[in-house]
Amino acid sequence: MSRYPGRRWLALILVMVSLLALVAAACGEATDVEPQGQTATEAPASSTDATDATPASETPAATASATERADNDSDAAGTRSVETAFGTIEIPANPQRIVTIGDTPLDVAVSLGFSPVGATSSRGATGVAAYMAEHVGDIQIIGTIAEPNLESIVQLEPDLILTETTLQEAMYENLSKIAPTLVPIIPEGANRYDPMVLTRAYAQALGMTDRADELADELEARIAEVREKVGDRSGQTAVVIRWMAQGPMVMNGHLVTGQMLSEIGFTLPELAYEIEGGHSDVLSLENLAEIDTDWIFIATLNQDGQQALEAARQQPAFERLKANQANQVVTVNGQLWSSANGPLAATAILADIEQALAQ
Amino acid sequence: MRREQNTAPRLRVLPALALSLALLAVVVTASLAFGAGGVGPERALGALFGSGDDEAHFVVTGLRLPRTLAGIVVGSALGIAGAVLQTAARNPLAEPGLLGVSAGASFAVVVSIALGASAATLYAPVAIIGALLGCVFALGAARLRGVGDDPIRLVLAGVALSSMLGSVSSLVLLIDQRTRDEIRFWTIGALAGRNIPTIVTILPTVVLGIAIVLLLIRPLAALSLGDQVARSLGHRVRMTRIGAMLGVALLVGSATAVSGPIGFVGLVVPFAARALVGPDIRRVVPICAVLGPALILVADVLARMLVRPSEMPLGVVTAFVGAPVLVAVVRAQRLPAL
Repeated sequence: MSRYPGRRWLALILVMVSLLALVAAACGEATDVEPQGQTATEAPASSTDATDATPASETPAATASATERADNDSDAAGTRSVETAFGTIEIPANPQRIVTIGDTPLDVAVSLGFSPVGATSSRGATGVAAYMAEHVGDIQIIGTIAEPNLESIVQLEPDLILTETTLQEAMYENLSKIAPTLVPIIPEGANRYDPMVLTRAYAQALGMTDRADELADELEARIAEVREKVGDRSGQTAVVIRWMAQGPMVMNGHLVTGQMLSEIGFTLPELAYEIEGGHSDVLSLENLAEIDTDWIFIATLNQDGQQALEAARQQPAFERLKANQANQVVTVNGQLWSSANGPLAATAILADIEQALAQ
Repeated sequence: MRREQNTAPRLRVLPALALSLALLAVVVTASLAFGAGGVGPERALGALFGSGDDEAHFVVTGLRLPRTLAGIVVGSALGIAGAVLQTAARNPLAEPGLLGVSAGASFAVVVSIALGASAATLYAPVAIIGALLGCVFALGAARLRGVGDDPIRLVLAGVALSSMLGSVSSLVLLIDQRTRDEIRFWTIGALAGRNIPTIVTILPTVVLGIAIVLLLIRPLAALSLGDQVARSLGHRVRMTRIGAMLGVALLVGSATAVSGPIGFVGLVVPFAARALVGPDIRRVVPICAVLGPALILVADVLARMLVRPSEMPLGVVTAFVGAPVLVAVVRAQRLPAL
């Protein structure tokens, strides 16, 4: 080693520089990163309402707990006390910077009139769901639903975080340190996939029950409109599936797609209602009789609906299905038809149904 | 591990072959008679002999028959490939998956789906190309002095390749969630939904692989006597190994293209064959060609019957069936000498 003194110095210098770089990165300020479409907010200014008594995040790297807000009693200027799945919390009465974790909270937040500053990417996509894209404009993507990027969320300085009902406790602990985190409670016995149940749960927490009623009326009106357009479907059966090479996966009939189809008049197979979770296991090709309905909706995750349909048609068992023979197989967007939920999703699904059937 | 020097075969080839064929016949019948749906054995067998109803007829000829044929081709290919690989590597625990061939095929399919294809169309040519590329890498390693001549280092090179391809596949699947969604069922291995055109696509490469194996069968048999002895008998040891690996790659690539990666068959079937007829590869290969399908079809029937109306993936069942056999053999310390 002593034959190369120069190399030892070089190695030492490199190590020092790397350590220095590491330390610098760890302590680094976040001000050089701009969320899409928003200007970076500098240190002390939080953009909550002037009437809000306590500024929540003084520095970008603040980890102030939500409970440090003044007044834990009901509505002192600027905060509301709400029941969540993890206990009672204080949320701002007029939140300005909302971050949503999950597709449904985003949908509901936008429907209620908010413009969230951050959202998780939709399942299977790099951005928000396709049907949401036009409603959110430039929004910062802060990770996936399963793994939200906490640092990105902190950078956005939210004053309220909306999540799905299925949030894990560990993630809740982390999120609630950044901003008050609303995990809604679903009333006992209600269908958790019903878009209006979720909407009302959020609306009640945010004090916007009037708007929720408006949305419910709008949805009813839209359903009636589509029902008229597509005609009486009360005798017909339909099913929503994903087609894999080994066979179909049947989508849960309780999902918003199943609800919309039922509202239009279709009957779904019993199997669809016996499923736990989003979809069934892969059904054997020998059991396609279970999905031998009048109309079949195939949800695909890649854009090529036509390709998926042709792939399905390569299976002789699929060819025999009466929906296929009558040309009543429709390919639809899998993101929307299997995992989305909320008023906007319901409206988009109704639009798809109308387009498919009113021909 | 103690190795028994077992030069005398337990059975002669023809009786063993007859026994295996009989077993295969029984299993094939079961494969046609049983399934995850409502068509039970009576209706199915009735349909076979022309008297069944329409649904039974379709289920047997349109669903179970192509599946059984796929099982025969896949089982045969994997069985033979396993036997050849174990002889060429002189390692009774060598498995085609170890060579990186299955990993190459999986990786090619992952990439093709990420680039826009759909798993439902089962890109057979893509998988074969991937398997062959895996084989090329392994061959490249084999041509390195010191690696190609040493079976253990060859297997190590294959393991390294498998790991690398597996991790790159995982990376692609992490980034592209759509691909992960589509491929998660393919990577476990299954025979469900495979139809005749897919089988026909890979039949030429399977036949080619078997032809290569048959051409090399005598040098391979000499190889088991040791490299020096084989050389002194006039065989070209390195070329034999390379040729054997090419044959294995073709067989395993084609099988993976049809069913997805399936493990343990290439390990267990040669064991059973050697237990029947002894270690001579000239005797083992025909037995493997028959026992391989038998094992695959037994696993497939179980896969259909255990979780009706769904089906278990085949790769899971072969693991359940194969792993205990492997453990039992290793523990009994009766690894037959190669």
